[in-house]
Amino acid sequence: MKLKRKIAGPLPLFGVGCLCLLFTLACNNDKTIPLSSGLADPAQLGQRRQATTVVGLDSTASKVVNTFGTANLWVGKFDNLESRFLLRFAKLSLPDTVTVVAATLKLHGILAQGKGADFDATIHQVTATTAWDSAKVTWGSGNFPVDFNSAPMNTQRVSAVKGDSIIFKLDPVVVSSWRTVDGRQQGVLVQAPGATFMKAFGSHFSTPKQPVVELITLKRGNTKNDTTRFSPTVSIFLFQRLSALRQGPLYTGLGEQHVSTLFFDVSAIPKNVTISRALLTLEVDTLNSVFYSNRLDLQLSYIGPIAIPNYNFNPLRFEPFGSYQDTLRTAELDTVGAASQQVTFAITSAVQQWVADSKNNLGVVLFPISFSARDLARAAFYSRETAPARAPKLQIEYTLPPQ
Amino acid sequence: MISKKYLRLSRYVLIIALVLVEAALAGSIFSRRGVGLLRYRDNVRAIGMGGVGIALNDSIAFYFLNPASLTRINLTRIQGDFRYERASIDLGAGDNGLLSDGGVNSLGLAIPVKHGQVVALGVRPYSFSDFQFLREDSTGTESLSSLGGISELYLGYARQLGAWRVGATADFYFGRLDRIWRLNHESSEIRNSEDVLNRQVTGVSLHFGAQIQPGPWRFGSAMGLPTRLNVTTELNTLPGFTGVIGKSKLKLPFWWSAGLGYAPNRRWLLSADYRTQKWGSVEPAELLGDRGADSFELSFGGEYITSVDALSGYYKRVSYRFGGNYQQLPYEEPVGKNVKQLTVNFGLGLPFGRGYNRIDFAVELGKRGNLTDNLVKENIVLVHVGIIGSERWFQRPKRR
Repeated sequence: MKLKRKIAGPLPLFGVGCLCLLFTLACNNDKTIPLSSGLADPAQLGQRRQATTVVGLDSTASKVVNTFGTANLWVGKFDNLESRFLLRFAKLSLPDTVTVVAATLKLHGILAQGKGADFDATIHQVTATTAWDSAKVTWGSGNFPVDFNSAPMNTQRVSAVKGDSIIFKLDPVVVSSWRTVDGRQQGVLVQAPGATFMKAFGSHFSTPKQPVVELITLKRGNTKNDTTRFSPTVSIFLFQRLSALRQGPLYTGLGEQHVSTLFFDVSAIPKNVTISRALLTLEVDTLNSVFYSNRLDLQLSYIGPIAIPNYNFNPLRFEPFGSYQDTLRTAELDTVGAASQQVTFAITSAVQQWVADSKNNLGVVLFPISFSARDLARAAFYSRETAPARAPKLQIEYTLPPQ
Repeated sequence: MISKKYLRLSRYVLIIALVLVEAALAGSIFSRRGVGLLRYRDNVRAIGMGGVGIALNDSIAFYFLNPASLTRINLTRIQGDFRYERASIDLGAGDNGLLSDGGVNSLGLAIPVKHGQVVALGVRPYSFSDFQFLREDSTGTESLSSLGGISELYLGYARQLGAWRVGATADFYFGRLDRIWRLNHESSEIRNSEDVLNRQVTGVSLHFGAQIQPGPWRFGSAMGLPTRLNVTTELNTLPGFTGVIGKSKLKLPFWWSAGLGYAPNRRWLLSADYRTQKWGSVEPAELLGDRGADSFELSFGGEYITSVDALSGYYKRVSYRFGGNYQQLPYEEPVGKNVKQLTVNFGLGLPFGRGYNRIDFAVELGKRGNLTDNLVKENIVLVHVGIIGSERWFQRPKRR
């Protein structure tokens, strides 16, 4: 046994111990070499590059859309638009023994657009035999889509002071007819064909600045009048364009809905780069814009692949109000207001996809999403046509991989 | 009983190492050229003696560079080695860096199939590339790093032909070199990037060796045929671009080496080697875009054993080794300036298991490059541990 121990020795365990020591030593922290040492081979480093691309194709498609749901009821003229509004009320629950002695409609002023002298607004009884559909009705151009009695019930002076209210006197006979149940109660229309500016009053959504009807009634056999107040159940403004919008700028708007399409050619950028940042900048054309006090929220979406066989995509032919709407992809948001000089969208991910495969590059669509200013606000941007030097630009920062 | 236990232990250690095998890397700023720094040796005994081994042979360990050394193997040998390497980088003007790593270096198996005929199979590193540059400022970080290397799977055969020992080895090269360029931005609005340029290398070569041992002298020579390896370069970027961006060739030039040994008695052994390879003849297009420089290596060393008597005390059977190594690396840094590496080496050979097995331990201390010529200097420390176990395969026990 003594001999065996001598031969074998304790050394294998020593070896295992050495291995453990090596692994322990290997677990220390390295200290990296400064890149500034100049020892790194420049060819092994990638390169940071920048490129600026001016919009290749741009266009705007416009359409008058239904404005139901806004907080404003516009009346008057501004920006070559004429606006009127309609109010409709619930069936009047007055018994036959009650007589309407007098009635008024109070409208709370909210906004004014444009400059000009005070104007007269008139209120008319709507005489349409078919109920107007608040979710669909639009004017756009030509005859007003809802019949009304051209003889006004009352006329009131509208001032440019945005908070001023007006009170129309309503014909008690007309108001009394609202308690009939034949479904022909179509409400009233307010218009101002001779206006020089446009004024907005609170809609039925604008609590507490919604329109209020005040009725003075007398019950048969009584000598003392009663007062009843109620608000319309539906209100909406309708507008028509009196002359065509100036062509050239890129527009976005919701009441008169404008959707702009832009396309940038990025094929000069190699496919294997990493897009560090891509910023799409549009310069605001304030002369052709219409802003309220609220800023207009804008959304920029990428047009996704269009599942139409052999469809030769052309952004100028893109129909933003058509079935392609559902091809829009990830949105980028920004806001624009009267003081804005430009808006910028970061579209890094989209440009990365465009660079990787040009088939992905179907352009972007710009449209507003602000419901609080859904009505007649409009942002205009310089386009290739109006000002090539100020046209939308795509500034791309990218890294070229080591070669 | 105890020796069997240690045998099993060494076997298990090697098996675990085999499972975890991953070419051990090590940091060096000089590894950023071509295929990186080359590793010529995997024999810890040789490393302890400054790298000599062309003229030497050993009944326990075998030497990759000269397959003729296999003929002395008379038992199936399993050998593996582990390595820890540390490079303290001096960039001048007070700037410095530190790179270190460790792990399994190589594994090999030698099987005597007939008397005087041995086959060997193993995997070893051929080259490595491991470094990282970093820039940090308020805008973010930029880094350039490299990781990977070329490994070599070898299949060797050696036999005794009279007084001569000859051997040949087929070398199968494979591996991957990754160069990673990263940009990390502080601003969340700017997307980070990571570009990985990976080069996958495959190919085959052959090398040969011969030895003769007249009296106390040992002579040996070995050479490797030139070859062109296939390189497939692929680019992977963080956003998802993946693609092969090129296919090229990587030329490994012809090399040869000669060694001389002298053993005045069984306790002393002295040896010296010379090896050269014409990397300067390789066009940059065939060296991953870098310019090569003719490399050479001069090594000398010795070994002393107090007693070769198997029944003498354990510590008397320990081998003590020493040596030195001077070499010129295969790349210019910068262009026109050669890089020299100088090390002094020490080692121990610790026998176990009736003397059939051994643990080798070696340390290399030295420097690579100098600030005057190469603008950077590395002080290097390498620690190697090799374990060699034995088995009796394909050999019938002798009849009593």
